[in-house]
Amino acid sequence: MSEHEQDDKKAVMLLAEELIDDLLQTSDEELINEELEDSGSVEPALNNIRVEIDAAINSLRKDRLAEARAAIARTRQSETPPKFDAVEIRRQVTEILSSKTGTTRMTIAARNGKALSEQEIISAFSDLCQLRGFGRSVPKENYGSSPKRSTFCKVWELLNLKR
Amino acid sequence: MATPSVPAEAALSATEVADGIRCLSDADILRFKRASQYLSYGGARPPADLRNEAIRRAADGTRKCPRNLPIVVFLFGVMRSIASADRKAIRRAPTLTVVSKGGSAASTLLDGVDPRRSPEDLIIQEEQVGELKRRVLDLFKNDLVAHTLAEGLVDGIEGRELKELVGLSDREFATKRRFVRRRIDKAFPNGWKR
Repeated sequence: MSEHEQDDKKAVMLLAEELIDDLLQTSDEELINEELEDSGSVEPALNNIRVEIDAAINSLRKDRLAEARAAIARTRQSETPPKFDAVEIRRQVTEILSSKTGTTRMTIAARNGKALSEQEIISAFSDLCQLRGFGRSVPKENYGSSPKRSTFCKVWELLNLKR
Repeated sequence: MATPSVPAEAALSATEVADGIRCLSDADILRFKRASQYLSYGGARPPADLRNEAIRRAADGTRKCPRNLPIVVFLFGVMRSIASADRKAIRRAPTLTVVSKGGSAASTLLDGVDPRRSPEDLIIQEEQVGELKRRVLDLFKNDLVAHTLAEGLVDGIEGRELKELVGLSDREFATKRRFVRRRIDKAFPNGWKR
C-alpha cells in the first residue's frame, strides 16, 4: 500500500471516528428527530435493529445448544461401557442379600412373601450400572425408607468402589 | 480502539451484556446503526454483518464490557475492532480449498483461482477509499467553512487546532460538525457503499 493510499484510509478512519464522536454528543431527542426527518418514522429502523439483536442473541443460544449436544455425543462415544464379571456380580449381590445383619437383609415380609428372583436382581443391578454410566453428576439415589433401601445402597456403594 | 482487558469483577457477565443490548434505548439503537455504517469501509464487512458479529461477540462473553461503560459505546469498540481486523485480513488471508483425494491426477491439481486479493483488486479497493474521501469533501464544496472543517476532520487535525483553523467558537464548531455529519448521513443513508 502506498503512502498516499494509507493516508486515504486513515482519513476515512478519522472521519468515521469524528462522526461517531458526534453521535455520542447528540442528544437522544435530536437523534430521533434526525431519523424522523430522514425517514419519516423511526419505527422501521428501530424494529429492524431489534430484530437483528434478537436474531444474533438467539443464534448464540442455538450455537451453545449445538455445542452442548456435540459435547455430550463426544463424551458418550468416548465412554466404554463398564465391564462386569457376571459370576462375580452374582456372588457379591448374593452375599449382600444373605447378610446376617438385620439392617441389610431383605426380608421376605417386605416382598409380600416372595423372594427376589435372579432376574430381579440382575435387573436391579443393571439399572444401577446404567445410572453409573451417567457418571460424575448423578447423585446417589434416594431409596427412601423402604426395606430395600439398605440393600440397594450397599449395591450402589459396591459399584462406586469398583469404578 | 481495542477494549482493554477488564478484571472479571469489573466486567458485566455475558447475560448482563445480552440483556443490556436488548434494552438499548431507541436513540442508542439509532447510534448503533449509524456507527456500523460509518465503520464499514475499506474491506470491512457490511454494516448489518458488523452489527451481528459485534452483538454475538459481546453477548457470548468473548469481549468483556466494563461495568462503567455504556453498552452502546462498548458495541462501538467491538465493531471498530472487527472492522479493523477485516481490513487487515482482506490483504493476507488465503482461504482453504478442498482438493479431492480420489479421481484422476488432473482433478487433484490445484488450478483454482488464488483466493487472495490480487494487486489489481487491492488497488481498486484503495481507489474506492480515496474516491470516498473525495466524495465526502465534494459534499461541502459550496460551503467553505464546512469544507475546511471536513478536510480538517479527515486530516486528523485536533479539535482545538481545527477550531482555530476555521475560526469558530466551541458552540459554532459543534454546530458545524453536526451539520457535516448530517449532510454525510443524508448523502450516504445506507453507509459508504452506494
